[in-house]
Amino acid sequence: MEKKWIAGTPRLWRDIPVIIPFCPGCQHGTAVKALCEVIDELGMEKNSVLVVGIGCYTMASILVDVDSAMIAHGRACDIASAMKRIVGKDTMVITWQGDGDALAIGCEPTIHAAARSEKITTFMINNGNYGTTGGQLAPTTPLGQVTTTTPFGRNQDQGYPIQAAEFIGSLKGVAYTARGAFTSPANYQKTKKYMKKALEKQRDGVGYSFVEILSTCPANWHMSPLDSLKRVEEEVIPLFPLGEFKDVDKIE
Amino acid sequence: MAKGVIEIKENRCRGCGFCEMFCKKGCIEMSTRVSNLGLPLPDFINPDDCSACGMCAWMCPHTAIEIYEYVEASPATAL
Ligand SMILES: Cc1ncc(C[n+]2csc(CCOP(=O)(O)OP(=O)(O)O)c2C)c(N)n1
Ligand code: SF4
Ligand code: SF4
Ligand code: SF4
Ligand SMILES: [Mg+2]
Repeated sequence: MEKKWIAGTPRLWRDIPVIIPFCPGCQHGTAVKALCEVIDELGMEKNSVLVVGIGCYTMASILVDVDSAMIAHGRACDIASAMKRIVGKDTMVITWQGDGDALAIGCEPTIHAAARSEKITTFMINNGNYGTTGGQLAPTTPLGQVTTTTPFGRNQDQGYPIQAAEFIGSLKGVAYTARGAFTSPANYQKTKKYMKKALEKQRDGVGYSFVEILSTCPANWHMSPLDSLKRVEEEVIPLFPLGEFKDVDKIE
Repeated sequence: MAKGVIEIKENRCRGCGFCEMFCKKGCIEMSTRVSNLGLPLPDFINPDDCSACGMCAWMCPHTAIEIYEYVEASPATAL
């Protein structure tokens, strides 16, 4: 008998000689792994550029073995739009952002890239807060969630969370939106399918594509990794349902 | 009969317990051992039941698990 590798560290995951600074149970690593696998399975490693925002996931610009750029917080969709127009249709331009990056400081770049039907793809990791800076309120924070800026839990006076996959899907320039999570092996595979489809929309020149990925932040939720996963399943998914919200082959 | 084997890279493991939770065959258990970072390490306690399904590696957020399936040796290597 021989041993054949079937799963684990993706081929496009760079083995870097430093400790990767993801907290225990943080699914930013799972998301990066899924991205590596999707780019590999689509054979896009030689013609993809990652435009990475600022957050705990910024590590993706080092971890994924494709060309990448680290961009000023929130500006990924602006830079990606310009890049795509310069490099042309054969290069896949992918933004890798957080909920704070894409929907708070980066709300305008994200929405207008979608409205302009830029042929780029955004993957947005929604962990319900600004993880990097110590867990402040984000535009996605559910009502009741305690953050450092909502110490008694978010209430109505602080507004309501934005459901980005649905909202961005309502814009005409958008080819595809979906929301996935990594709460089970089945969801892992489904989320990968959404990510693939989003990249195929860009490859086929249809329009802007967007996939939101629900993720844990055990450190700032002050929960164990297992309880964080349970929270995504029981509290976050009911508010941010999984599935596809827009899927067209032509915008007319 | 084991269909495969997993390798747990303890230097990458962060002790989250997702592998234990998602292995349907009960092959993985969090132990009382700890890593250099002081976090609990999992043990591959039940290798005979491993079906090489892939799920523990998909769910591991820290790329700490590699899964290998047992396959017939190719003629070239058997020689
Ligand atoms: C222009 C600018 N403003 C503010 C910051 C501080 N800052 C760094 S990361 C971050 C929020 C990140 O949140 P998110 O994108 O949700 O990423 P997460 O860490 O939650 O994954 C902020 C406000 C910055 N780096 N640059
Ligand atoms: S602070 Fe939150 S998002 Fe950042 S690495 Fe830790 S768990 Fe992940
Ligand atoms: S490969 Fe499947 S059966 Fe084997 S340890 Fe991992 S989850 Fe369990
Ligand atoms: S899922 Fe990965 S990081 Fe978490 S305990 Fe298992 S091997 Fe360690
Ligand atoms: Mg965030």
